[in-house]
Amino acid sequence: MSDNLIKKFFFPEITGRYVLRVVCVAAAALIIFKYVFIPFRIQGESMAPTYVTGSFNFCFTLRYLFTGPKPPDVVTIRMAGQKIMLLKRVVATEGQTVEFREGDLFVNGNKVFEPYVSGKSDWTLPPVTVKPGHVYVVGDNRSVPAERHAFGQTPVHRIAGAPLW
Amino acid sequence: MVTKKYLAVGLIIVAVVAAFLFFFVDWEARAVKKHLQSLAKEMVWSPGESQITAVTRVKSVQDKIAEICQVNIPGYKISQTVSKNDVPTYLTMAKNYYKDFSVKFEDLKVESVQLPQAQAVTTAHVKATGIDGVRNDEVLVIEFNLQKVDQKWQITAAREVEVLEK
Repeated sequence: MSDNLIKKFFFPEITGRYVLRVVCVAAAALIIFKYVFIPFRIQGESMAPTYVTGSFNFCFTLRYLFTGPKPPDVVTIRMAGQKIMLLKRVVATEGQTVEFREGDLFVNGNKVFEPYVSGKSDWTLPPVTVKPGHVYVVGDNRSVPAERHAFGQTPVHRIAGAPLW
Repeated sequence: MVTKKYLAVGLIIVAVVAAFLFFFVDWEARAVKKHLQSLAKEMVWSPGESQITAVTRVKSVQDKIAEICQVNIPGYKISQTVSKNDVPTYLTMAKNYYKDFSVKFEDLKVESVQLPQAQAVTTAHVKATGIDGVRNDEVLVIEFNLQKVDQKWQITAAREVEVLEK
């Protein structure tokens, strides 16, 4: 009896109903993993130690359906499409002024406590006001010189979502 | 009788597919994509590459760009007008800087085709190793302008789109 059940499970009878079920599951998986939970692999150390190279995650695209990104959210930023995206942390929103003084982040002149940043950086950058409809993003790994680190302000519409964990 | 019925159904299917391909597939956009993908395939070199392969690749890159091409890629500190004849010189300079190099165009989208011009945007994933052995991989959004001359697409401009403004 149990042998029969196992056999039925692994080698089911191909009926119209079974094919329909397989098609529905495949379509649901396609929609979910192409548009809602987009799987991605992290390459690069710009978000270390929070996210390290080689780790796997999902971009949850509905994260900002009702609210906008705000500090200290980690967001995925769309490039020309969604095959390659940037992973960065939001540190300021529109209208705020961002400045780095000897590695410390200042938003609107106030020093920001950043427990997620490891290692001391020496970044010193003049104040920049975030444009309307933009957010200011930066990686957690600031041990590299500022010239070699991708950061700055980006339009909100470029944000594809947020990592699931 | 049955054979005729199947033949008629087959012909109708072929006609529908042909009509779909004719009316709904943008062949010019496909040609633009193919042109840019082939450019990416030619922008590759490695230390062991033979001289003949290198010359063939340079010639192929030359064929893909217009007589005058405006290149503006701040990520690589390039902002200048490049003439077709200068391509070998610039590629030689690049080879002196990077010992191996490859580029892959991801998310390549043709934004508009208004003959004889077209515009496309892509994420260029550049993998490069400097002469000093230091990896220098980059990801850039690049917008291309192309023009169709003598039934062939040619790149007239390549511009980096700023995703993060410092």
